[in-house]
Amino acid sequence: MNEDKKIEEAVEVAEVVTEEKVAEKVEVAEKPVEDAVDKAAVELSDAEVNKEVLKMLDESETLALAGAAIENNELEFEIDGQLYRTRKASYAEKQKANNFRMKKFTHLLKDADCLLEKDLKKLYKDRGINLDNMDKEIRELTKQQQNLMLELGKGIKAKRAKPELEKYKEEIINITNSIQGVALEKQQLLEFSLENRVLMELYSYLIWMVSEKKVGDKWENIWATYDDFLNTKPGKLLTEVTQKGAIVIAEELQATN
Amino acid sequence: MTLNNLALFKVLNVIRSMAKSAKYQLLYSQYKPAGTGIYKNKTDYTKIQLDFLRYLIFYSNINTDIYMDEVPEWVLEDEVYEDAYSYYRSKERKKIQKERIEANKKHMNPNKSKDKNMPRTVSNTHVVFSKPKLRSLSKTKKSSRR
Repeated sequence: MNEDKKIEEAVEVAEVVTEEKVAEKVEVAEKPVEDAVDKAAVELSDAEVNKEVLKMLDESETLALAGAAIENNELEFEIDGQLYRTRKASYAEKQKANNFRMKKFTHLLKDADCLLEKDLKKLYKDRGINLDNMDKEIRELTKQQQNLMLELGKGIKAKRAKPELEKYKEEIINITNSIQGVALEKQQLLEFSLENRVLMELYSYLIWMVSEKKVGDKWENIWATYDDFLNTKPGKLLTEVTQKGAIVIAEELQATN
Repeated sequence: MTLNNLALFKVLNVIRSMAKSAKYQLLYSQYKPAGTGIYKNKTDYTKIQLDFLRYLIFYSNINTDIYMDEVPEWVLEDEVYEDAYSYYRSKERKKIQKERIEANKKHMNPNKSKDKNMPRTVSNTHVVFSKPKLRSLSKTKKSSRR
């Protein structure tokens, strides 16, 4: 009996000790988890701060870029001490680019894999996507938007109370979003059309023509030929040139002089 | 959206708020009589520069209307209000312009008035300064032969 009692007591003590040890272990195990959570929280806020800083830097960079783009029809930049620029295309360069566009169009027209917008539209129609209906929808939404804008403008002119006009504003925003959604969908569907490919090539060609580096007192083409430009490895120079070139040549062939 | 298009998109978004700012509005009001002297290049404007100029004019018109008390100042609180007011303003101006042109046409050619009941009047000055038409001359010749 005594021996049994001793065993029971020993088991009880052992259980208590084990429980204490388990509790200790849990505490030890939980602490790093808590620490990790705290650390993660700190890191998350750091990440958020970093994101904000990056956003601010991005905004200030965009502002600086916009300021430079407004000031002049050429954008200068420096990489490793070398001065570069992208500038507005001259009349002769635009003519050359137009010729390039025509040649490219004719060349791609012979390619059976390249589809014209109208052919793509037919294919999409067979698959149940009607691009003409999208155009119709955009036109109808634009008409609605214009009518609402007239109503809102009339209300503003009549100095009606702002809360009365809020509903027009909300409706205009909703319609604008719908128009943008449909237009974006249509643009994505026609992304690989022949016309779009020609346009992409044209802008690439224009960027090559208007990208220059300063040699002494003169500005010279960065790449002697268009093929040299196409074969350039991706890097800072190519990024800067395409980014700034896109700003300077935006809608170049449509822009008035 | 590719990187270069993204930069262009961001810049296009920023130029509107830049044109609205007091700094650029002041600059525009100073250079307005002398044309577009706000740019370094005197000709050959880029699309961004033309868009910026359009926005400068857009906000200059709104600011003038606010100053003339034709529109409340809160119109500048939201781009939707700005766009709606300017759209209405341009439509109204076109309507007034069209009415004026129509009125001038009626004044210049009273005989072409659509209202047939209106009495036809011929001004003396019209007769004095008008040249005889060739067709009417040939008609008179034929009638004299007869």
